[in-house]
Amino acid sequence: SSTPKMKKKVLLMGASGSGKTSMRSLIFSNNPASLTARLGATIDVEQNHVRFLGDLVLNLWDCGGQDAFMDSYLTTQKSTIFQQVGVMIYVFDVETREVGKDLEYYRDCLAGLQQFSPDAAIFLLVHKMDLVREPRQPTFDKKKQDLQEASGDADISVFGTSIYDESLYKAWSNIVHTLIPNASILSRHLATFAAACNATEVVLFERTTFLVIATSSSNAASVSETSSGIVELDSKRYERTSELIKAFKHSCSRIREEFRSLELELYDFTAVLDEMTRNTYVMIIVHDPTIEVAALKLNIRLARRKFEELQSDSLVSA
Amino acid sequence: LNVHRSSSDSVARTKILLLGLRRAGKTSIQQVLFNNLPPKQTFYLETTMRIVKHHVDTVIPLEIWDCPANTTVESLGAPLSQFSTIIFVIDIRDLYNQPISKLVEFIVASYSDNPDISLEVFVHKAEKLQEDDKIENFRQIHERVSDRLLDMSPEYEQMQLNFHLTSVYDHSLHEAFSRVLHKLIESLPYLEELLNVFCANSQSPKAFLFDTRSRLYIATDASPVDSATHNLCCDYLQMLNSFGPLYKSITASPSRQRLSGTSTPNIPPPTA
Ligand SMILES: Nc1nc2c(ncn2[C@@H]2O[C@H](COP(=O)(O)OP(=O)(O)OP(=O)(O)O)[C@@H](O)[C@H]2O)c(=O)[nH]1
Ligand SMILES: Nc1nc2c(ncn2[C@@H]2O[C@H](COP(=O)(O)OP(=O)(O)O)[C@@H](O)[C@H]2O)c(=O)[nH]1
Ligand SMILES: [Mg+2]
Repeated sequence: SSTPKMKKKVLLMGASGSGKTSMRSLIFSNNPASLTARLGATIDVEQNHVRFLGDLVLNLWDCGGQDAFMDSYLTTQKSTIFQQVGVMIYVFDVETREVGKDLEYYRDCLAGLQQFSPDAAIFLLVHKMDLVREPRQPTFDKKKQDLQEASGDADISVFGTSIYDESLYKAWSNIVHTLIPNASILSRHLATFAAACNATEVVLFERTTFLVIATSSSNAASVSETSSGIVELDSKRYERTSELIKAFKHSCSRIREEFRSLELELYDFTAVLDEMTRNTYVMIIVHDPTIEVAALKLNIRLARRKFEELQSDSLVSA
Repeated sequence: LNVHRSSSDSVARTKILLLGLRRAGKTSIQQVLFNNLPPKQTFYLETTMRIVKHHVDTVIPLEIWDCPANTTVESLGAPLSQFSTIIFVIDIRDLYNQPISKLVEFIVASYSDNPDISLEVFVHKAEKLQEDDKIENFRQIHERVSDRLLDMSPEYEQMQLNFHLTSVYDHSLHEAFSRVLHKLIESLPYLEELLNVFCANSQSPKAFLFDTRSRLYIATDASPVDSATHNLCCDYLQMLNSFGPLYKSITASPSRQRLSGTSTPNIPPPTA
């Protein structure tokens, strides 16, 4: 492609053992959660370039969290680490026994970021939520409040996550969303496409990570009315879908089969998942029983070019 | 087949006995297969104190008796002749005499009360061991049971015993239980023949007929079952079952509802 590449630097920070490398390997390398137990501590910074949408390249900086490394990020390496950052993701192990030290390092990193990249988006992940006893919400709320206090007037987003469920996909879909500036235009076109297919909903995923890029519905309303009745949509459906497809892709790779597309005809709806553009997959959910799968697949083929254009536009104009 | 009507519900249910020592994994097996319990959650199951009878509706109605470890032929409360199958669960790391004595006790009783009963041994928690140790322990358990039976009387050799390696953490449990189920399905030869015809005409390399909810396969064509393919089918069904509720219809039109309980994903089902 001739359009210039757009690089976004993403900092992944947090105490050693908090789960940074684990989530990276789940989201970007399609590894199952069970394999993360084998990961060793990250030494210094591990840089990775991940081709995301079209010409958007994520430059991931996985910063090993042992004290010696942290101290050097905050002193000698300070400008290298914190300049030109698009997003900083700070990971907190919810079960850590060193809350005080955790927050202290976080405040220092925040100060460094504000000095060198004042416009960077900030995401705080309260991680390993699976280890918290039910009910988990109060624990999360408390943590969130502490983090808000520690952040002063910085604009932050806090998510509870675990590599063992869909919460990780929700957080990361939100993170990448901030990196795709014109996602709302994609959304509008998806809505048009959904109407053309008589679909209840259409969702666009990034191809390798299966993170949600855009959806046809402007709000994530959980009930919608279609020609064939009232449909109840699970509020976690996007991240659950990402998780399910990723897990299934992994199953396919185990028998050296490549995952290509899916057609599910379930009890009360049809779902078609197919390649939309070079970097995306589209999923169409249809409740109308008169709509044939073949028609949906044809529509996808016809929409491809338009979406290729939109995708590169949305990045160039950014 | 030994099918008995119980008074509480009118369908005839095929009875299966689930036996084994304490913490062998009997309740876990029942719950993971038929109650969708995530394998990790089996850790929190409490010890079964008395016999619990579970009604399960797969392709044939089953009644599974989850028995506490101290159950004996006498305390069972029903003659062995009422059961079609005994599944005996042994923890793969448990190489001692106790489970084997218990198993032999039931084999001997079956020999006189119900020689047609299917005897299935689930050598369980297999994922805990490395491949070599797994095979070695499996072989030792098999050998010890045979030796004990032979010591008692050569006539017990007629009792057909089937050994399976199982674990709730992978699909080996589903595969083993499917094989147990096959012996109970009278129409199996016809189903298998239909699948053979299907494969021949559609040039499918493999076909399984699955019960979608339990992810047990009811029949397959004559070509050998390759575990990797079987696992992929189970993964696919797991995804299908989880996917359905995400976009549920409250008032779907009746015409929408074209799929019922079972479907036939032929391989490869999900890849285009
Ligand atoms: N229970 C639970 N464990 C997790 C989760 N995420 C990661 N872990 C475990 O946490 C341990 C440490 O994970 P890493 O990803 O290596 O941690 P890190 O933040 O990269 O650590 P450094 O590289 O030393 O900074 C691993 O054993 C993971 O399996 C989670 O969501 N829940
Ligand atoms: N590693 C492993 N543990 C298992 C497996 N199946 C069951 N368990 C564990 O074994 C323990 C006893 O299981 P339970 O079903 O209560 O045994 P029961 O007394 O025979 O009913 C539980 O802690 C389960 O988590 C398995 O396949 N692998
Ligand atoms: Mg690391």
